[in-house]
Amino acid sequence: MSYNGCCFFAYNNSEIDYVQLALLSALYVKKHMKNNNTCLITSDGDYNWLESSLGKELVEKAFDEVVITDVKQEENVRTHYDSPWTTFDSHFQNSNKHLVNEYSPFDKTLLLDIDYIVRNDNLDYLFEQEHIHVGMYNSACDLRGDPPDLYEQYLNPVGVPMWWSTVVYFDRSETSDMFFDLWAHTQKEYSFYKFLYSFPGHMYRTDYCVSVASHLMNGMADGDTIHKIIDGPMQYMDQKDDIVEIKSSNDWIFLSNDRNEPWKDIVSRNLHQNLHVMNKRSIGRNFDAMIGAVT
Amino acid sequence: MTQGYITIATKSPGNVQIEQAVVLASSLKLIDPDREFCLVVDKFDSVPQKYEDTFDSIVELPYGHYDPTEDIAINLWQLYACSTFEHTMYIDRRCIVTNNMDDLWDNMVLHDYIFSKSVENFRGETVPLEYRFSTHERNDIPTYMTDVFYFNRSERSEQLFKMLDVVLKEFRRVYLKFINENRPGYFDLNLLINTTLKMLGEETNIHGHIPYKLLSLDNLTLDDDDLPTDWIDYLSSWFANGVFKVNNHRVSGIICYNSDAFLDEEILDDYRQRVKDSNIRI
Repeated sequence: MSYNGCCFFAYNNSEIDYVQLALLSALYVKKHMKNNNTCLITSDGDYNWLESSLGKELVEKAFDEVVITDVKQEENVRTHYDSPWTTFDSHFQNSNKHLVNEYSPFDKTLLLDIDYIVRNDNLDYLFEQEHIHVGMYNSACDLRGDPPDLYEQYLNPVGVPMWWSTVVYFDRSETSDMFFDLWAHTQKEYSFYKFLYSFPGHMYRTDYCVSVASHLMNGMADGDTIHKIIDGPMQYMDQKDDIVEIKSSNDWIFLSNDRNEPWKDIVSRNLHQNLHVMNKRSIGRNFDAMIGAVT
Repeated sequence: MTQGYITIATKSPGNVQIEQAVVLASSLKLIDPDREFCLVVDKFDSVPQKYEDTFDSIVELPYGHYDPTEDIAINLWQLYACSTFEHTMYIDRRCIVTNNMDDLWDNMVLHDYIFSKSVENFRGETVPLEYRFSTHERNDIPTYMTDVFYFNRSERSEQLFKMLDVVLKEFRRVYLKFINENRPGYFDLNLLINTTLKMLGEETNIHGHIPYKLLSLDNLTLDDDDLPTDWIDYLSSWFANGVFKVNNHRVSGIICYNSDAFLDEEILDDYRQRVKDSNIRI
């Protein structure tokens, strides 16, 4: 019997309490998945803050394992939106995400971003398929079911397809070792791959690294060495959207913003879907209701 | 039961058309040496002597080059008479083939003729060709792809080529009768083959599929309004040792590069050398 579970990276910054978000995400895994062991990967200081802010009992309920990694993080400033009208910058710490296969205590691991909220058991199938060594989403849609901007579908409009590092499943195999080696290599030679694959922006994005690694492992074509998660496309709540109401753990109501006419929103009800909640401040505003729905 | 490939080319500035046929034939010899390749030309002397040994057979158009002012494809109706095979796959000369074709042949021979309903872009995605088919759609003409197709020796195939004889020769009159909106002023082979299929009532009777990739900007979703007409002015491509990449994406299978500016001496020499090195007897 293999020891399976989900890992969460969380390093706080001055704007976002990532460890609290990780706790929330872990509780949703506990509620909805069968393979629901959880592991928090964080720093010593952030873990102490989590215990003192939310209490040891809740932390122990959310996490079965804690891995302390006080690594030096690269500067990576990211501009976040909270509705179309508010922006803020924060230091995003993701430079050791590719080391998850070293940190994870599990035989089969699902690495989840702390803003990915599991609200069904669709991802459990990954742990049951021996032929899947690495799996990710390679398509996404917003709350309205529309695809994201062209630059989020491909590394550039005439480039290779985008794979999302929001959810990464991996086992202990040569294939997954090769995948993480390629991720590390792409991160190390980021400028070269940015030039070769013409992806935009100045920020280091792990999505680009896993896209390049997947493209290389799939034979520089559309292959299946890297598994496309079939619970797709990955649905996301945009940073410009907002949460209106948490009715239960899998029944939420949103305001979905119109990308072309940002003064317009429509109300969108979302049931039983796993969801990448990208507006992190909206989680903060609804934190008690979201926790209350799973405890 | 003979199976083989056929294409058509003529004398052109810099011998581009013949060299395209040389590369196509060489690419097929490397992956499918047992099936013969037939080149159809207007005159034998269109083929420089140094390229003659690339082809298993070179056939002159039996009924002559109908209208030398137009595209050589105006003579495509003669392919049925030119082909020496029972089962023939036509491939436009501006194509390269990189993968084994046996599975495809196993499927194709079950049909009288096959035109594909869709085509993939260089990433392997099926995206509608809105620009190419805008005239077709406005005039209720079917939208089959015609860069690559298959036909056998049968009454049904013969009928198709007999009708093509009339349609291609009289293409301007056909336009007047069938194309009321957005009528082109030039010879459009794809539009005319599709019009022929409509005239024969075959719009919905063609089954089977030949998968191939069409390199074009028309089957990509782009956020740029200022696009060149030729994809090679917009996308990067590499070719080495039989591996072909567009924007670092490996492209394989039947690849229709659809541009007279694509082929260079390096690709031509590479293919000819590899055929020579592999000791394939033609």
